[in-house]
Amino acid sequence: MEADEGKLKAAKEEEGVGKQESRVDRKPDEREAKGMKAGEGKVGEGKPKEGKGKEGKAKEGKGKEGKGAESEGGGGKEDAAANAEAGEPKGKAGFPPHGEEKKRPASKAERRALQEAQRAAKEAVKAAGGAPKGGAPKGGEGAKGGAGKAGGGKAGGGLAAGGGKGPTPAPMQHDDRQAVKKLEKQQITPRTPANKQVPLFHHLPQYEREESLSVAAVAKGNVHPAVLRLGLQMAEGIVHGSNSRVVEMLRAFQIVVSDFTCPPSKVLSRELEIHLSKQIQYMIDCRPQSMAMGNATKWLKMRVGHLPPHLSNDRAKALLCSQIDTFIEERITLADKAILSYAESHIASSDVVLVYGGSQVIETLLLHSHTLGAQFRVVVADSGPKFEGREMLGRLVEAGLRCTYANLHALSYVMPEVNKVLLGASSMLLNGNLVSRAGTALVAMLAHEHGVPVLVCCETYKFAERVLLDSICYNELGDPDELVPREGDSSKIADWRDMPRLKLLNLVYDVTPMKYLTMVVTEAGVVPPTSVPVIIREDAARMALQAQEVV
Amino acid sequence: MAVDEESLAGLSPAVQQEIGRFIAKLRRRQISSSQDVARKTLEIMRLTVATAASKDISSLIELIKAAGRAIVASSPHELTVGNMVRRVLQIVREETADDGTKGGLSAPTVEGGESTSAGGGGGSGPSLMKLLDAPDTTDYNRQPVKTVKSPILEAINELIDELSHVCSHIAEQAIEHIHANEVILTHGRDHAVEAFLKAAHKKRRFEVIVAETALSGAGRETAVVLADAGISTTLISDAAVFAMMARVNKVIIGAHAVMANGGLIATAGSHLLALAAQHASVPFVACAGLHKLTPIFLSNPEQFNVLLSPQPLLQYDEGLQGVHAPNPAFDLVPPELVSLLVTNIGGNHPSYIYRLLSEYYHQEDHNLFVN
Repeated sequence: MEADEGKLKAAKEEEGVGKQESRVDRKPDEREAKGMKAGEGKVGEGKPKEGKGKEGKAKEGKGKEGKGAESEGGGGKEDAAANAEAGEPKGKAGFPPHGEEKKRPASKAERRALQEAQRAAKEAVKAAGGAPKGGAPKGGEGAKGGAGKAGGGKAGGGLAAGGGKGPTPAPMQHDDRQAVKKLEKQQITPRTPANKQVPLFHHLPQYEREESLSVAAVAKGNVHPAVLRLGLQMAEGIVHGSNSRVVEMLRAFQIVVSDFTCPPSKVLSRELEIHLSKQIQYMIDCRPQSMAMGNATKWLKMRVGHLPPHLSNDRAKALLCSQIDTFIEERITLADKAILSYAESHIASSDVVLVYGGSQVIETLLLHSHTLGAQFRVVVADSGPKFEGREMLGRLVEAGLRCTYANLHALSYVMPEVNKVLLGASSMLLNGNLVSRAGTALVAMLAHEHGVPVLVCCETYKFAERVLLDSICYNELGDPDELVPREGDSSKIADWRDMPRLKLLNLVYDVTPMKYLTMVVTEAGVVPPTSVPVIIREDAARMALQAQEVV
Repeated sequence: MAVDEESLAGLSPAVQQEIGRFIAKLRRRQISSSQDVARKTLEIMRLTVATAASKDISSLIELIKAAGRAIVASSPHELTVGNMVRRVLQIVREETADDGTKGGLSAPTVEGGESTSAGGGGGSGPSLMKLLDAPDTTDYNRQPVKTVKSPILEAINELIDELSHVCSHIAEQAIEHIHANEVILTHGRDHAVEAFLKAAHKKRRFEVIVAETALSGAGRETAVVLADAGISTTLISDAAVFAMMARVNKVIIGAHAVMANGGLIATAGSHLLALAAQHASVPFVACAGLHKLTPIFLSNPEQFNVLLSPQPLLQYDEGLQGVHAPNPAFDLVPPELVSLLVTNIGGNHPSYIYRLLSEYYHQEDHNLFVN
């Protein structure tokens, strides 16, 4: 306990350090500025006007940055210039950062001074004893200090657990024996490894279907019934779909939070975090998290870490619950409404719209456009083993939409008549690629081949700070038995477990290359896929700012 | 049996009966393998020639064409039928020409030394060697049937014999194309591909990924067969094809027909497979016997497609009113997506197909419905 408090103190102290660290983080900006020098003249002309508008905010930033600079003891003219520069991006957290960062290219002397200051800051961090691999709350604060000041200039720290400059840590690799051993200890429900594993996917969890996922968890007694229930629902596929999985998870955690009683003389945020990570672990045991869920849990952990210590336990819990409410409202419900309003303008009468699988946003969009009176036709493309589009097809037909239902094999047959493709997303990545249900890449590729525009509807909370090149490094392996037809099959595939040479592989996701996507409809607007990293960066910065404001 | 009686007027009753039975079987899809279709067609052609009462060759050709037309018209998507009819016609023309040469009637002397190409019959197509010579002037009207009948029947028998070796000839080339530790992707069910992979497995260790091939699920059968043969096989859903392409070295599929431009008519889903292969720069190989070589240019992709029942996709009692659920049997794969065609006489690039056409079919027979 004492040790914990000590850590907290250290974290607080580090807050100051974090401010200094903002310099370290600003490096990319500088580079950008340097690169922009060529176009400087032009940009400079437009500058004064904008500059005036932002002055007030810039000042604010300046003031804050000033503190960091003072503690560092560097002072002087150069520092002041650097501060002004640092303050500026902060003032426009909500605006695209590119345009204005070009404006003030640092002179050579300034840059050198800055570099030195950064070096000093780094040393200061070391002296303060801030271990670089600090826990989530600590790292979060560090990031807050950094990203908050640097405004849009920093993509890394806002969501990442580690406050340092390094990349987001690689996710769990299941072919790493040590990591697996560690995981087995953490697991709430022990899972039996599949007896017929696909070697290519050794790095992903491959489990057998369990008799019961809840028995062990109930026995251990530290999993909340709401989470227990949801975990089972997700494992069975009763709760599915990117958004609903996140919403249900956050709702369950809300119950966990409000039911949580902190042991006397302990710090709520600490204890709650430990408790929550057990709940999260159980959910992962039941079914691997989607990237969107990963984002949501990261966010929640950050919130827990940032609970103001002066609040009473009850008020802190109430605050957290209301924050979860706000997250669901702002990032999902309202975001979907915004996406709807952006996307409906792209559906016109006599359009033939192709959708793949069953996505909640897309379904709402189609139904909404239909009620607005647009006379369009829908091609619902679908594929086994889940045939997720079938339910949606039923609802669309019921609403009176003219529908064609095509399995993946008929795609080449129907594509010539299609003039728009709408896709749902599981996640958008830093390199503009799309992660979505398996088969999406095929649909997008064929649409691209036929010159049909591909629109992806994706809320920004699903944007993940990762890059993927193929669908093998990251994926989820579904139950292989889903590939065995239930009835009416003449082949002996049902006995696949008895055939030593035969393996079944049921991939859940695939990665669609950016070049096959035309645009991404988000609540922040309709953007090309190349702009996804910009939004991610903005988001991280905004999030860090918010975290700071609460405290 | 809705065979047009008039068109079959000149045929013997036995042939008419056979044709009727064959058409019925085709319609009920009781014969699915294109090799069986080819064999059955050849048998009917053999019977037609054997029982033909016509006196001159031109009327024999007309008779064969009429029999062929009847079958082709009844199931136009079975392109093998037409191909086999054309092959028989080519045999008739060749035998007549040979016979004519022996009789010293009109054939140019150069022709004998010229036919060195793999098919053996270079007599009819446009050839550089013949460009400056006199055109083919064989007069079919003056030739009696009697003298050429037995050589024709013999040649048809040879062709039937050749058919039964198609798979093994294709399989012989497997070691040339599959090296050790490769990952091969295939889909659907094709005997030639199966034989090809099994032959390679005798020499090499490699992995096969099979897409399950909705809606027929033919890929599942292939997976079981290959796994039984000892090849390490992974069955995936069709949707995962793009994802797995990153690890695939070669895509090998069978074809329903090879068109004149080198394009393929293949199991539905092949086009997506070919595009995905192109995206990953993976060679796309098609195994097809020469009986699938079709001298028709496809202007419309739907021309030879068949829409099957949507039953496996949507149940009748689901009550979805007015939903259109297409279930095409075939896809058209354009020649630019095909890297290699492995036929029973060797591997060819699709751009070379036009040359094979002129070797195996007479120009006049390309369209059976024109006299």
